[in-house]
Amino acid sequence: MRVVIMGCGRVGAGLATRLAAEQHHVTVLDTDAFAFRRLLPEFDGRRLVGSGTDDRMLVQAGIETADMFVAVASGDNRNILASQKAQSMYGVKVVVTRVKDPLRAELFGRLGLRTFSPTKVGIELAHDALFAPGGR
Amino acid sequence: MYIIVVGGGNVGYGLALELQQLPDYEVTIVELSGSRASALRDELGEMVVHGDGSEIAFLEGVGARRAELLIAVTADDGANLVTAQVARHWFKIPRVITRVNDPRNEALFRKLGVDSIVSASDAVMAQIEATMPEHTLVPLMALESAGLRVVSMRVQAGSTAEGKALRDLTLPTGVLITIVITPDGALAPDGSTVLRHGDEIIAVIPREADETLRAMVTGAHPDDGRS
Amino acid sequence: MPQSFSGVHSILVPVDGSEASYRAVAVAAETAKRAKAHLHLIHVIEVPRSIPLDAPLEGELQRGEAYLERAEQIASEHGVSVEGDLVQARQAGHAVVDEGVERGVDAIILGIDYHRPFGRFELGRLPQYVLEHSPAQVWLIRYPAPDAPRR
Repeated sequence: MRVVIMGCGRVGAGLATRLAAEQHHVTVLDTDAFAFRRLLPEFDGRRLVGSGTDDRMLVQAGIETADMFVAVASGDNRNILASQKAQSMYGVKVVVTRVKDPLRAELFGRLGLRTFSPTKVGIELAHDALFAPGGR
Repeated sequence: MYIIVVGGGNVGYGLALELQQLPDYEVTIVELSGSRASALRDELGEMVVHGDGSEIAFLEGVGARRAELLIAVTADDGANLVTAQVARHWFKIPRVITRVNDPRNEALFRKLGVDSIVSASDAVMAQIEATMPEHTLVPLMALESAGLRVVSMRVQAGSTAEGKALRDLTLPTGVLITIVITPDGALAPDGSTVLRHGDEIIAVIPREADETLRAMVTGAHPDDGRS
Repeated sequence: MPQSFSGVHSILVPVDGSEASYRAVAVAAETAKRAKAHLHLIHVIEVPRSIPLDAPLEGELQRGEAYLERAEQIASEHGVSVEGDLVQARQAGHAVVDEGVERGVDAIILGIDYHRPFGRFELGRLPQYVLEHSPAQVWLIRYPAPDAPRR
C-alpha cells in the first residue's frame, strides 16, 4: 500500500517505521525537520518537510496515488482539514484521523473519516486498569 | 436573532462593530487568544468570550443551540472548516458563513457543503443583510472614501428589472451587481443572467444610484415612499 | 465630614445577597446621608449564553427581589429611602460598570468577603473587573472574616 503520514511525532514515527517494515511505501510529512529524528534508522520511506494541509506538499507526497492517509499531527483541526482534503479532493480510500477532542472525533467519524480519540482511549484504559483484578 | 462570530481578528472585529448597531441582534464573539480577547473586551464589552470556537463543549456553553447564524472568520482555515461543520452538523445552526483564507481550500469547503465562502468582512455583511427579508434595500457599509456602498435588494414582481437579462437593463453608471441569490443558490451573474421575482441581488453602487436602482428592481418610485 | 465625601453626589452599590454586600449598603447609606448624595442599588442576574439575555428566570428574579428588599430595608434604617433595580446581564462586573456610567455615579461601593479559596487571598471576579474598568471612584468594604485568626 502507498501510505502518506502527516505528523512525525511518536505515533507518526512509530507507525511509519512499522508500516515500512511491513513493506508498505511510506511518506512522512512534518513541518519540522527535527521531528524525523524519531524515525528508526531502518526506516526506508520518504520524509518531506512541509504541512499536510498544503496542497502542494500533499501532491509532492504522492497523495494522488496514495491508498491510505493518516493524520497524526498535533492540532485536531489541521488533522481534520488535511484528512477531508485527502478524502474529498484526492479520493484517498482509507483516511485515518487522530482527533484528541472526543466529541469532535465522534462528529467527524459520523461525517465519514475514520477518527480515533487518544483522550477517549486513554480514559477507557485508565479506568479499566483501575478496576482490573489483581491489585495489591 | 442570535449570532456567534468565531474569530476576533480584523474581520471578526469589523463584523462585530457592524452587527452591534443592528437592533434585535445578539452577538457573541469567540476569540482563541486570551490577550486578544481581553483587548477586544475593552472595546466591545461582554459580547467577547475567550475560548476555542471549534470545540463542541465550548460552543454549547455560549449558546450554539439557539444560534441562528454562525460566522467562522479566524485566520486558520482548519479551525474555520471544523467550526463550520460542527455548527451545521452537530448544532444544526440554520445558517453558517465561513471565511476561507487560502483560495486553494475553497474547492474543499464547497465540496463539503460549507455554506458560504468569503474573504472579506464587507462581503460577509452583505450575506448577513441578504438574509433579512424585511428590508428591500439595506445600505450595508458605506465605502466612504470611494463614495460606494454595498446594497442588497429583492426583485419585486412588476418591476422594470423582473424577467430581464442584466445586459438588457440600463443600470445607473457605476453599478456592479456582484451576487444574485436565487432559490437554487447564489451565483456570480453575467450579462445573460435573468432576474426573477424574489431573487436577491447584492451590488456595489455609487451612493447616489440608490434610488434609481431601487426603482428598477423593486418598482418603488423615489418620490413615492408611502405607496 | 471628611473632605473626600464632598465630591460624591451619586453612589451605586451592587447587592448579591452576601453579608458583605449588605455592609456596603450600610456604609453607602451613611455616606449618602452625610453627603446628601443619591443612592442606587442593583442586583445583577448573570444569564448564561445558552439562553437569551431576556429569558424569564423566575427563581433568580424572586431571589434578587428579596436581596434588594433587605438592602432597601438596611438603607432605610440609616435614613435613606431607595429602590433597587434588577438587571440581567452576561457578566455582573460589566453590568455594574455600565450601570454606573449610565447613572453617572461618582462612587461604586463594593462589599467583599474575606476569601481564601486556595490559601491565598482572592478579590473575586466582580471587584476585580469593577476596579479595573469603572471610571468612578471604587470603595471596597471588607470586614474581618468571622473566623479569621487574630494576630
